[in-house]
Amino acid sequence: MSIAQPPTRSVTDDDDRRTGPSPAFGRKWDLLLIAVLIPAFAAIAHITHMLIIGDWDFWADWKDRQWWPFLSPMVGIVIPAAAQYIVWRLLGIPGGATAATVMLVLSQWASRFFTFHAWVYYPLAFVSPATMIPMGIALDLAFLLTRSWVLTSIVGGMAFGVLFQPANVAITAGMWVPVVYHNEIMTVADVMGFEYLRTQAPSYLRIVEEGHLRAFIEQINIVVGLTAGVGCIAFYWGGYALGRFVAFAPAKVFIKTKSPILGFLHPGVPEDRVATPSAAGITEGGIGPAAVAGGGTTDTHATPTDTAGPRSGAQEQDGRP
Amino acid sequence: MSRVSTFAGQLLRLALVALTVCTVGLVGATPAFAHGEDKQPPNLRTRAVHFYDVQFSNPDIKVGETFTMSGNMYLSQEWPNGVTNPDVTQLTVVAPGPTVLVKDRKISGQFISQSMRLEKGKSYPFEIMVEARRAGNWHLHPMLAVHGAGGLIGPGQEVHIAERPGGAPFTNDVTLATGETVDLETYNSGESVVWHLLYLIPALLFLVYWFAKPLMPRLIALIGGRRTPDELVTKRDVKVSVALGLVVLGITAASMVYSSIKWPDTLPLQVQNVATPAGNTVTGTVVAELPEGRATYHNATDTLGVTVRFHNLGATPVELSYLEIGNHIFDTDPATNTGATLASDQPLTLGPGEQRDLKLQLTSIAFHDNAVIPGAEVTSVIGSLAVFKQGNAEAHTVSELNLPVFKDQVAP
Repeated sequence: MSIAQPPTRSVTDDDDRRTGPSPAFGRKWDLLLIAVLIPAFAAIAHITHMLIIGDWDFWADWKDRQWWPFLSPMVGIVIPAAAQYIVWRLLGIPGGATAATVMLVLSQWASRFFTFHAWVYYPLAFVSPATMIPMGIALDLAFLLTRSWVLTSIVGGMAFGVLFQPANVAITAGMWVPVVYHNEIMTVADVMGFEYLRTQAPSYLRIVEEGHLRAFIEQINIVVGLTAGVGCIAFYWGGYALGRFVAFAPAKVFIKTKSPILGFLHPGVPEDRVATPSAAGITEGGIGPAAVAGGGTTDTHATPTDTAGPRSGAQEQDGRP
Repeated sequence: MSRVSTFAGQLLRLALVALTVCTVGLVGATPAFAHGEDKQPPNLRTRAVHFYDVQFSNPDIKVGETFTMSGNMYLSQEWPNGVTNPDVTQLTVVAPGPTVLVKDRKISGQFISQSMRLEKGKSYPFEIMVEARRAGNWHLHPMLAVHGAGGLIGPGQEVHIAERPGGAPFTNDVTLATGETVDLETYNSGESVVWHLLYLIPALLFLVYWFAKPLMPRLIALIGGRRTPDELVTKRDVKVSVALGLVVLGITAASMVYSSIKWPDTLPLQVQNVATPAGNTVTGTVVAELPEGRATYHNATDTLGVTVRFHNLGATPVELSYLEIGNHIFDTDPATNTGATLASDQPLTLGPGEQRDLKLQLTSIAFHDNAVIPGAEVTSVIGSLAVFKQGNAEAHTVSELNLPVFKDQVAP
């Protein structure tokens, strides 16, 4: 199946923002696309988080110094990384990670408020989720500024792991205030875990820091943050692979294209068929008539003077490192 | 086209029927009043922990008032292989969510905040103080959770919790180490919501900025191979994104400063050692054995017949008070009779040093309805605890009885 070509139109990217929809694609199609992306990101991020992080994110008395900030970002980076790849490749928007983390937080709040709090009556603070929004934005900025998957995995991945604790400290620290309870020293979270019944989740099921004879105990937050960062660098590639091979690879079954974007799906496409900026009909910073109208071989003599980023050119068009 | 419409119409009608059936089903659903304990194999649940003398101090209370669950747990010496040893356990309350709060939990008089190690063959008096939180009729049980095995549920009772006069909201006040008293029902909720919103607002602006761009033209241009993603990003896009990113990172930094000022002294989550409360030795005074080596169950009359040879080794007389099987109490007192009866061919009193064979008949519909009698199981044995009064009513001695159950068509 070939992609249908829209009618010719002559707008730049800035024009798009000013003038709104093109005659061929009204904004309703954009809204439809967003309406698909929002629940998709929310559902995938939320289900992944619930299945793998689960109790660490559900309950305040699981949010310890060791496992919670170690596992949450490592698991949490996978879907944002996949979303980052997909949104960048399909829409040219470096916002997939932010979108995934925002959708994750919104869907978590919907779950915690309506089920944990409004339905089962747990206090809101006891079941409040963690946020990953600062980390998602950091990941997108890392890609926006480097346009390199490798550098994004290193810089953005490390930031993703390191930022988790600072981003959540104000949300959670109140639960770590000490309480003397029946002559034992506990935190507020421990007291709530004792009092608010979770019949099938006795405290021995908690996987939390239990102390050990290793060094760096005083610096455990730093050690865990850096370790999580290193883990995020590795797990980022899991998300990248998910986006590239799970989200894109099946597309080749349905889409026959000579696109350089999806070209890797069809290794037989010769390199000289890859469009160059000038041949693609680029006007200043936006989509020129040739670009939209299928004029891949039309020379408009335009120069991409306003396009940003450290590199451009056919050989690096897909953001390859 | 018309065929497609017809097919779509059929699908729509099917969906409506399914929705109607589901909705009607929900309307007709009745609340569950059990916790699934009857579905645990009887040879496991009746032979591991025996709850006896369990009492609920006041089953009719108002929100904010407290009541106590108390009693004894005897951990069977013949602990079944299918249940992990009770090295890490926790006594808790089975309830439909946090309808009540656990305010105190004592095992053998010792406060147990988290887990405990128990010994087989010992009895542990327990006391759980519970505060009513939500109005309603709630079915509550004590339960011993065993690490690696699951929950072993004790006898339950329905508790009726009424609203406070005037409907005043429930509060759960706790005094922090700083001396400040806070209400755990609402504590820290504000901070949590506000900081989430502070992160959310710039992030949504970031997304609105990017996703407000005409998306379909970008998609077509990219998929068609006429543009690359790099070419669609302007310098202005970069500036706006970096600015919003810096705002979010600034909020993160501010949150760290805020929390260090507001909560200068915090602790990591506290993990207590596994407690080892002292258990009582309550066996040994009366020895019980089965001269016939089995019990016989007659399905038509819901009767379990067994001959037990009791030998009182103590210096005082004892009287068989009741037999406990799977939280069901079989006794001879019609006043306390709950549908489970105990009949004997001889008096239930044993003098010092006396040995006697008692032919007992235990009758209860619970044998069938609550699946106390093993069905097709790998071990056709159920556990029972014979509880004896010793001199005065407060002191008990118990004997553990494991009953191989043989199903017979002839009434015992």
